[in-house]
Amino acid sequence: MNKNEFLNQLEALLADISPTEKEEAMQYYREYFDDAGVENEADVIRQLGSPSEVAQTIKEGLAGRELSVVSPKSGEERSQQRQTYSDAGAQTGTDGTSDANAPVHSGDKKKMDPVVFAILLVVGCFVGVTVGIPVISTLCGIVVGIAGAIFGLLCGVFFGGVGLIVAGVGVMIGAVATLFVSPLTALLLVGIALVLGAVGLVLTLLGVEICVHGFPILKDGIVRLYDWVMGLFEKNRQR
Amino acid sequence: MVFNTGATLLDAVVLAVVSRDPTGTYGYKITQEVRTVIELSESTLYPVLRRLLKNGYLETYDMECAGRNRRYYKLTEEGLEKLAYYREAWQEYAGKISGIFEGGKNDE
Repeated sequence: MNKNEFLNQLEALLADISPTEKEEAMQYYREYFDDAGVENEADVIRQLGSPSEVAQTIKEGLAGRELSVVSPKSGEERSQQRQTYSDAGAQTGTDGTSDANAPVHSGDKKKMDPVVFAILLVVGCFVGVTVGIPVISTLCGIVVGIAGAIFGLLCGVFFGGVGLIVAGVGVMIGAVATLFVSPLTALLLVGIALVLGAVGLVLTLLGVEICVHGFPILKDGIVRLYDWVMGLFEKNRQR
Repeated sequence: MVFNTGATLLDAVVLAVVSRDPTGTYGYKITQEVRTVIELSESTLYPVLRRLLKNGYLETYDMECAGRNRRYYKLTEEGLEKLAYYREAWQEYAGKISGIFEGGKNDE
């Protein structure tokens, strides 16, 4: 390739940028060849690389992205590990994009081998089905069981209380019925009825009380339990 | 040279090289002079010069030379200020690095 071929190819590759920018760049490289002299022409072409590389460098400059690091390696290696940046020029608003101030690493994204990915997916699904489902359902069962037990206990306390009150009332009726037959028995039954009624009232009120105030305490308790378990883990890890 | 040259350092070197010719200098010469201190591809400098121009640190004028046109670059006032700033920053940086290299000498 000689100078004219190089410049013609470069001009063709720059067809998609603004005519002013294209002319500026072309003038620069025309002068560059002229100043290098005919004797250095081949050397300059070798140094510049291919017209498409030069065109790419020019376009990256127009987009406000340039080589941020000139690494001391050969040209081919450098173009592979290009880092681009937007310079401080973005501050003055004269140039390109302002949102690309952070270095952009292109082309070094780690892509997973599809085969490895597929194997991991299958293994993951298998482990998920064989281990995950039993573990999750067991945990759900435990939680539902505990909730049920608490609910049952509450119901037991409340309805037990109500039952005792009803029983107390029944015994009281019995006492009234036996009052004329056996006054002593009746007195005993009245005493039993009063005790039953009192205990029933206490249990009923306890049930209501637990419903009203117990749930916040329960919530608090769960939070504390969680903190405590996490604390144990933390200690183990620090050891 | 085993060390990478950052974009800012390249800007500073280009400004310094251009400033050595108060009447202005041209693309090929700038490239060759920068290449005496930094290994870089000859195509690297065009975007740098263009940007320094857009940022107002450089200005150009065209002059006939040996029957053809040649574009000269020279520093603007802003470019001179920027170069002074870069020089100062470099001296501080280089001083610290040298201090570390030369056996942990402290300022104290």
